[in-house]
Amino acid sequence: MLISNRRTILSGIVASFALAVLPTVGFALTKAQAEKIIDNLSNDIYAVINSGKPSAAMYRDFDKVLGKYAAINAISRSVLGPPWRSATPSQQKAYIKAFRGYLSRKYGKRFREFIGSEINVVSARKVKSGVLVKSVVKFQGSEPFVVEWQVFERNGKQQMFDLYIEGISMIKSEREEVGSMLDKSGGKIDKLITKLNATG
Amino acid sequence: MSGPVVFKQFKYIGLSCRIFVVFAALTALSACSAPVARGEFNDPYEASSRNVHAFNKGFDKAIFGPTAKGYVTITPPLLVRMISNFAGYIGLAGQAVNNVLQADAKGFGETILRFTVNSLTFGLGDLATEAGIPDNNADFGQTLYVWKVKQGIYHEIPLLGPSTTRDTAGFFVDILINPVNLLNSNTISAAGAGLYVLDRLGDRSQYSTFYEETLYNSEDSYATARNIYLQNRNFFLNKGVAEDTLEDPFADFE
Repeated sequence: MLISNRRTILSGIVASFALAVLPTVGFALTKAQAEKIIDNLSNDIYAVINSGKPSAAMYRDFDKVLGKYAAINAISRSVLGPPWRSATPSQQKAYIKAFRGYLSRKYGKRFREFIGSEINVVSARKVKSGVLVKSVVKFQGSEPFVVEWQVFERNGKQQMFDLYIEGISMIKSEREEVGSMLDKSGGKIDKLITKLNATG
Repeated sequence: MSGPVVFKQFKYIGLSCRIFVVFAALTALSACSAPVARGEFNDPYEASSRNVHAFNKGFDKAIFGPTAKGYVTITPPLLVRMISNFAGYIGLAGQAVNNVLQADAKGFGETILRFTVNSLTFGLGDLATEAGIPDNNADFGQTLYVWKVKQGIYHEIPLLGPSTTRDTAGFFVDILINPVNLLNSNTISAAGAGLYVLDRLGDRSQYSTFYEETLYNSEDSYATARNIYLQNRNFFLNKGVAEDTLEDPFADFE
């Protein structure tokens, strides 16, 4: 017992050294780093859902968590797709702001369903664009399910990009949803922004 | 009784009924010679599939959803859970057959272990899950995937919901090879069908928020259901998200 404890402590020390050293050396994102990020991210999410605050306050907290970990600009751009290019810089800015609010409300609501569950990071694998971290959410009395997180590094910044709940991608789902909204807005970005602000 | 965990209710919304068995088999067969659709989805009969979707949605709104609500209101939660556990327990027989057909020794071991452990409670409890024995949910659609049969065409089946040619074929073969149905007793088959319906009702209510978000709060519920079904199904078949389907964070639209 003592030995295994010592080992854990030792490897913890080694890991924290590695974490401190690697970014400055400029190595690409490692599996351990990505796991650590998702560990922190999921802890922050659970702190929000277990805070017992009213929903409006909770969504504001989610917005902060999102800002801290997620590559909001890249996510927003990827969700909108090609129409991004035809938008003016001020429209792009307004769209990102509206989409971010919409995302915190929507996923805030979704994560509230996780109250009473427990999440654990179980593994990570290297993928072309970074690292995919696998976590398992366990509820009392029902089958566990898998949430995978895509983490990448750009200009030395390590951020979350997509998340997959039982294989269902947040970005793909939102691309479908936002695409439909844009169609219903007659392809007008300004109308889409108004719609996003009013949804969720 | 089988299917990926959280979103498994999307597999088949509702009941299994012989008339629809025939109907869906015809749909699946006629779909085999169809051209491949543009874009990410192979959905060349989208227009008619959307009609089926509208019917399924209407059915959910008028009958299935309210019935599910009524079911969990009048039934004690423990009983709902026991029924769901028992449905899963009965399904283990067919699951074991599929494990063998897939030459999946590990999966077969899990299924047998689940069966043995859950037999302690006559299938009414689920000690196996609590003990960390995974439920691999093997089905014949998956067996066809393992046998390298192509996914085919996406469609919706009346009352049952989203599917593909491969999964529709799998669904009906699963009914045929289910040892419970091999007993050749109408009473047992009817009881099995009843159990299946109750299990679906339980799922409909357990995941009601997710279900209603998809059907009633999305911009285009047909497209959303298709998106969710295909991604979730591919995740199950691939045992994880396939790397080539990951989004590219470096894609630039500027």
